[in-house]
Amino acid sequence: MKLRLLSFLCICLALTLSMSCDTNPPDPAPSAEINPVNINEKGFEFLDHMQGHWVGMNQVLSWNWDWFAFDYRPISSSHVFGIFEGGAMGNLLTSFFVTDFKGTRTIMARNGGLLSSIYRTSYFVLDSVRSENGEDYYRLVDAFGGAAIMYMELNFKGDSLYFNAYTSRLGENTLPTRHMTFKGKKEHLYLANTAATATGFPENTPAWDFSQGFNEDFLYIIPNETAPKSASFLAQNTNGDVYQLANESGDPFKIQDHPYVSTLQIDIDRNPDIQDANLFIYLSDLSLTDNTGIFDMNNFNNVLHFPELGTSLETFTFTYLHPGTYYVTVIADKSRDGIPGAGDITHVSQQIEITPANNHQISITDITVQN
Amino acid sequence: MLILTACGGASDDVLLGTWQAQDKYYTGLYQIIDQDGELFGKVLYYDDGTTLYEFDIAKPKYIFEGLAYYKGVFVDAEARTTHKPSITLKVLHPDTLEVKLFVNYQPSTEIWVRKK
Repeated sequence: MKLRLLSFLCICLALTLSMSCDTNPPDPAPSAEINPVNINEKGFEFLDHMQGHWVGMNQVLSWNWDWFAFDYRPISSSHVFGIFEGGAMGNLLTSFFVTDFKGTRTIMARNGGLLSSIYRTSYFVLDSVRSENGEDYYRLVDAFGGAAIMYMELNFKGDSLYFNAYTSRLGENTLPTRHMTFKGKKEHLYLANTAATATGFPENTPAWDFSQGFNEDFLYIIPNETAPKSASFLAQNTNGDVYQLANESGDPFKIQDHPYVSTLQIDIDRNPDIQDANLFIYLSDLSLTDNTGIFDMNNFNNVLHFPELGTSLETFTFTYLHPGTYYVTVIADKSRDGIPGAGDITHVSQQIEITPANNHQISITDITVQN
Repeated sequence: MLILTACGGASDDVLLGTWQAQDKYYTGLYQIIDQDGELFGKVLYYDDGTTLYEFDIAKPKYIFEGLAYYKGVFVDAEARTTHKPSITLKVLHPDTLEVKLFVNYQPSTEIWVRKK
């Protein structure tokens, strides 16, 4: 597993800001006709399919991660949430929830994050559901511009998930460009099941109300354009945090509106031996070290979050963190090979209990064990 | 601005034929054909786990429609109007192509091998 998080997050930012203008649809670009699937008739089971700790591999444009994970758990009776925490540069989330969208009871996705002080959220709506040959397929399209702008497809085959995101191109017969491809298997379902019991998941009840659609005054308009093309909201401020930027963007469903999830601030003591090292931060549901602090790869598939900090950075805050018991492990990449292992400096994994809707903090002060 | 010249400086014939994408995330089989003097990349088979397509003469799909030669690579003709390439093809070997697919200049790279 080799992560080039800075480049990955910058690419995601370029993608999300550029998706609409890359397709060059005819001007002007009115809101597309979108036909949401009525989940009173079909498709409600999607949320149950989606919950789980998915472990596999991911490709975003030219970047490949041979190991990647998404931890999807319910945060309410009708909302399942997962986020990729990249580290100092930011994060990327996609969550799925029940709502009433313009008169139809359906499922929407909220996709976005905070990257390099730019806050962006885009909304998608379920418009296609299909089950055949043991596979369950779902498509969600941009909730303003439709599939002509961008869309995502998810296909569940047994315990496998294929999760692709596409940007459409000019021409009815032209293959769209796939810009994200995740393939994974469902692991450790007990994590999501615990959250499901706590939240009463799943229930066919709106997690948020989009019955009136979006306030188009707040939809993001790309520079040099005159009208929005996507159900996207954006704000930029180098001094703002996610709460402030959410308000500035006009995002109708902000982090403040998300129940059950918590935050965890990790403060790291950079002793002289690790002053200039990149740091891997792992949250896992099993310890990643033995009782002397030596890293053990055997439990790596239990990793739930894996941000990185560049040299000199000493603190990181997880947002939208699922409640539960975690092991915190910080590894200094002294070998500079981009993966944890021989040559790196670690500590004994520390356990922490994350309670619902709370802010937590932990200090890691003993990163001294030479591997 | 991307200025493309129509098919100068390289023979299109090297691209003609059937090509298999070498990629661990999807299976792709393409046929590059000459159609009225323009090169088209016809999709014969595509499966990425969510989208499955097998060539249908009634509903053809193309990965590109028209190419132009520009600075050592073939670029999709769509770039003549958008000034942004969505696909480029570089001949590494008569039986091997380096194909880049772009979203706003950000590339995804794959290797195509000639299927004989």
